[in-house]
Amino acid sequence: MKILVAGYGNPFRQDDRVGHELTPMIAEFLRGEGAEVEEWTDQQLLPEIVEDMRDKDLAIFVDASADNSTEEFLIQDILPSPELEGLNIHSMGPSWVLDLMQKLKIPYPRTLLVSVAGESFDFSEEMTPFCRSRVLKALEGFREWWSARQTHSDR
Amino acid sequence: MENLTTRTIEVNPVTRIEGHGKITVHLKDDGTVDKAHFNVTQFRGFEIFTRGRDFREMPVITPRICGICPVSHHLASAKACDAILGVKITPSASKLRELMHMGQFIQSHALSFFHLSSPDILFGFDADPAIRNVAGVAQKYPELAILGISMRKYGQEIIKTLGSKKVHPWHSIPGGVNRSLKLEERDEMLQGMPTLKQKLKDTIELVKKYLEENADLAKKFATLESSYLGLVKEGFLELYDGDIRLRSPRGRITDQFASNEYYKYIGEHVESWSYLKFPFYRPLGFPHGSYRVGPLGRVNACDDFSTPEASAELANFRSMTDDGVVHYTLYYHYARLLEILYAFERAEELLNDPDIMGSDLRVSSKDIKPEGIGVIEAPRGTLFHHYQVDEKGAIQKVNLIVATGNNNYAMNKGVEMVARENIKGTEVKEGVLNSMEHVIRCYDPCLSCSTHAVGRMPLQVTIVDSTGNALRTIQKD
Repeated sequence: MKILVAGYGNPFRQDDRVGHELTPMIAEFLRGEGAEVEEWTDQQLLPEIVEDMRDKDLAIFVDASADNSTEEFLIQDILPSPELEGLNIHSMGPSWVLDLMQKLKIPYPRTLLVSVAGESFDFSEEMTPFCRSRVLKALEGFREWWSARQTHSDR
Repeated sequence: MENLTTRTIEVNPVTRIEGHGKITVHLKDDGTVDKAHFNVTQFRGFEIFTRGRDFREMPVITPRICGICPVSHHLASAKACDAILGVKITPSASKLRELMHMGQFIQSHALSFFHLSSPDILFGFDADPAIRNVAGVAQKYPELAILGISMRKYGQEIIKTLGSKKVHPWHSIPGGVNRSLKLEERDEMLQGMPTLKQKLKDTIELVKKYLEENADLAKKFATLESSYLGLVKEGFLELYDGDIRLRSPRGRITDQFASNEYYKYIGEHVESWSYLKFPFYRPLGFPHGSYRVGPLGRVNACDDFSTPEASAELANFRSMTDDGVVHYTLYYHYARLLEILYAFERAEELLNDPDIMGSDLRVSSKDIKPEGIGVIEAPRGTLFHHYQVDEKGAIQKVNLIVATGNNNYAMNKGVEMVARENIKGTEVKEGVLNSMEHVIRCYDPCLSCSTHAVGRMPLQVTIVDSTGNALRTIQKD
């Protein structure tokens, strides 16, 4: 199975570096599960990522969330949407990327977003302790999701 | 009765995270446009906060000025550091740096044209912003959108291969580079090139057709009879290392001088309403010594391209005018594509040069000279890094003339031209904001997202009187 794990965010803004921290963890876990994994990290999503997604069976985006009011982390399926999350390419999200692939007539893989709620996005290369703990929980949550998915597909 | 005192119209992009630009249009008492200012309101202060740092850190610090063209700052800085060490780097190191630079030109120009400007050209300046964006291009012209994406990716992979990262790579060091090129990496770069180059040539034909079909617009849209500045080597266009040439509006070579003597020839004018300075050619003073840089500047400044396919296309480009100097601002796009073609050809030359696989990558020196200057062509124009250090190598003074700054006067004039044609009193013709937006896009200024929105550049026009009272506000989402 070919999987892209793509983390994004500003590694110099505290918890916005979640994508850079969690991506290699998820990638390592999946490699241990026998998957062929491509790792990708950058400060932001750009249209070029469609080239990295086109031959994959699964794409997993990893990002920080500024909304920490409800869940510590979320794992959700993503569907195409033409709506930008913000107003420019600095804030395009995975849904917009899928919509772009749809417009380009490029088949897109099943796509997940793993988002971890951040506490602070100030200038620093260190995540907050809260967020660091949530990253580990998100990794555990992803392992459970993977395990459940494997069990489901084995049936 | 309406009070026709002096008024100010502000055009304010409101969505930027960094790099806000704002346009202010000043009206005369009779309601006609007096002048327009393209205000740059951000201040980054790299020249100040790098004081006291070791000069060897500068190739890593200064690329943080920008996320779009960090390679240009990285290389200009490394060149300044070479000068401080008093070394001439090895042919392998020089060619590897230049190869990364070609990757930068390909990816940055592709971003400017395919992602940002092509929607305006394909759909028209006044088209609905909902379709006038990269997603709109993907929907209606998927092959063109895929080409833009592929070309960006190709350039970024060159940068990443050499510098480990697509953005803010680390490859050049004072005295050379820190990594060689592997054979399989070279072969992979060569493999992807022919298809992209052919498709680029098809795109050039598309742009030529657009310019022919819209000849009237192309000739009058913010056209400016300016001087042009760019690096040349033996008269050929040069992007990495050469002399600085200034060509007059009539085509005469006004001057040509060594890049490390730039300060004798280039001055910087300051206006209170912008943090971006106004560079000018000292012997002519400001504003007469103002000039344009970037693709149109370089293509006009040089005699020719050194590569065959770009050279042949340049001949066609120049056939647009009698004296071979093209002043049409919309031709920035054509010139930009010409430079991508050159960058492909030059990258191919470099990849086939035995030196590119060399392992002699660094020249050491214990000398520390008091001063170092690095000048390079960034995608947006000529970029100057000038450092002064103490005997231990601690930075004492820094002067950076960023590429966009060189076009500051021209961008102001372009916006003013559009304003004069379209604004009378508080009446603003439909589409004027889009036209102003496109003037800025032609220059592809490094105010990042003020011009890098996905087709959306929400603008706010506020018309105020001389005392600051708002008379009218117009907003474009």
